[in-house]
Amino acid sequence: MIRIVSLFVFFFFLAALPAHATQGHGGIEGILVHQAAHLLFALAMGFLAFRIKRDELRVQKGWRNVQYAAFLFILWNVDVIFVHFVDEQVALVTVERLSTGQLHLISSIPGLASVYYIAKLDHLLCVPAIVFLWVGLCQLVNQTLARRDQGRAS
Amino acid sequence: MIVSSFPIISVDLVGSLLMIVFSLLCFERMVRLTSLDKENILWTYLLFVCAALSIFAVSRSAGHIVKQLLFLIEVPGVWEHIRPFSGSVNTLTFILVASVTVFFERVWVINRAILKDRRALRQAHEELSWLNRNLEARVDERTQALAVSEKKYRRMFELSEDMILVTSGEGQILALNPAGVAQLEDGSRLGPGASLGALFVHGDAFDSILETLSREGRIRNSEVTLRGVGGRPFRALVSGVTLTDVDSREGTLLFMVRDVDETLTLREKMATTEKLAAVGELSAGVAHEVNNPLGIILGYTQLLKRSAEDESTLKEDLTVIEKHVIGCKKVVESLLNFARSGPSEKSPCHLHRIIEEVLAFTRHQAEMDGIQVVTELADTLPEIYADAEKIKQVLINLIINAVHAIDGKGEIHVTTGLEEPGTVFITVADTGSGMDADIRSRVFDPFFTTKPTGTGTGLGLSVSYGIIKNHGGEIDVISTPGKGTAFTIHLPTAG
Repeated sequence: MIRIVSLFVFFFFLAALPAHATQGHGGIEGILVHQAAHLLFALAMGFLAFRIKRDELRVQKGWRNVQYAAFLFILWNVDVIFVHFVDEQVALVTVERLSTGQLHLISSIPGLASVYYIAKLDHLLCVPAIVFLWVGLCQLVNQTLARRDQGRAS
Repeated sequence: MIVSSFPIISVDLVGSLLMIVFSLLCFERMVRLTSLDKENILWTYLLFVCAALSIFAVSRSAGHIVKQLLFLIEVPGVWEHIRPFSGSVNTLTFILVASVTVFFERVWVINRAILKDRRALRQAHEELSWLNRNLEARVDERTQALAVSEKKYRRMFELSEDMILVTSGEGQILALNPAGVAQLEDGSRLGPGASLGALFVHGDAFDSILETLSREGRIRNSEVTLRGVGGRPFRALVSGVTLTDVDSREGTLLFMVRDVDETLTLREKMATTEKLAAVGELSAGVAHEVNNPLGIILGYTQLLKRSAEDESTLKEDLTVIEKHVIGCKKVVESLLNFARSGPSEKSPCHLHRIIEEVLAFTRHQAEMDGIQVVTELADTLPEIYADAEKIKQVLINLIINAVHAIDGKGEIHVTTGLEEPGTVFITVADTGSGMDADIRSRVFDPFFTTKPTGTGTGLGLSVSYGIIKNHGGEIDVISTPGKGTAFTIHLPTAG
């Protein structure tokens, strides 16, 4: 049995085939990786929100705001995944900048251009998310300071 | 669809700027939070997330701003060169956030366990510190409480009117309170190791108590007879419980003993009084109904006897009838005396004089039988308001009974004294055969006698009882089989 396997490996390396040792990464591979990263980011935020709920940290105002931030980041990721999918992955929407400063949105699916236009305003989700995160962190800092002062006083 | 680019461009530019600003602010807050509490792993996690978000925000937002500016100055081609780098950095920051989150998932769980243990340790440490600081005070406090408790129970043990005994499982006395020392025979010598069973008049009663205790663990109000001071038996209620020592596992017995002799004697006396009162009432009725016909029979018998010829059979028969009718009348008279319905002539009189008159003719008879009469009379005694003849009758009855009770040689002690202000007592005690409890309870019953048939009517003590009651006094008896009997009369003084 060992002899058969050894012979097979030997002939495999001696086979005269074209060399394709390194794979190319052209096409839409980059956007797929980016989409996957968005998905992972959304999952990470989902996990953070779940942890805050399971460990009953929501009772603290700071953690509650961090959880809101996590929810908004999830929505933002969904939004940008949709935008990337529509205009880069499957190219269902084409955007042309007109000389008038306007945008010409072309899509074969009715209504998709309108949805795409709204979805492009993704900062309306990610900015509130980071603001909630900042507010939550400020509150956590204040709580920690208060606890430390309380510990010193006692 | 042609739309204005202004909303998108403005939101993109402003939003990008805000993202840079707030992400950096978040990072600054996390740096601050981490420096405040370096040991909290959660802050480390959030610091990584915020760092990644800051990189992402700067990369993406800067890219967007540059993009908009390049489009504005109409060199979009440059953006195509920058775009892959910006997108790659964004991708890396997302993966970084996800990686950190996955990595910290387990760290988070472990951190919570560590924090929980730390809280428990801190609490234990605080408790130990507190105990260490307060141990001495707590020992003092407990010792003081123990001393107070010990004193309280010691006082209960020592001041209790009832006997409290602690014995071993076999009945060897381990501790006895002062009440027990005072009430039991040779109480002062009942040290540890003495047997409680030896103090029981009936040893089987003690065995029965031990058996009940071993079977049921406790016994309540068992009536027993114990040996009291000077060997005097007294009745008592014994309650006991089995105690097991926690350390040695040895069983000890705790007894509470209450002397109820006086209570029971009083109760028996009351029962006797009630019984004799009922018998007296009945006797009075019968005597009254029988007395009149007897008078008529006696009168007619004497009339017939007077008219009968001398030495005739009829006269002899009538004499026999007369004799028995007179006997019946005496019995009836005795019954009336017992029932206190007979006439009496009371006047102030000296008790000692009455006793001397009684002894004057009873002493001789007693001494003939080898019995010595000893008088122990009080030096001075107040006069009593009584029918002297009736009191003489009572004393004669008691002395004659005492003589009959002594088989062979013996002594009769006649004692007098002032019992309490307004009451004198006379005791007639013999060293005769004594009576058991059953006879003692019936000794004042009419027609009850222990003498052979024909030698006693059984009315002597009944009549004496009636006479003493008629004088507002009391008569009681103490008797021990084999040792003797003592009758004591209590009479009110004159005035």
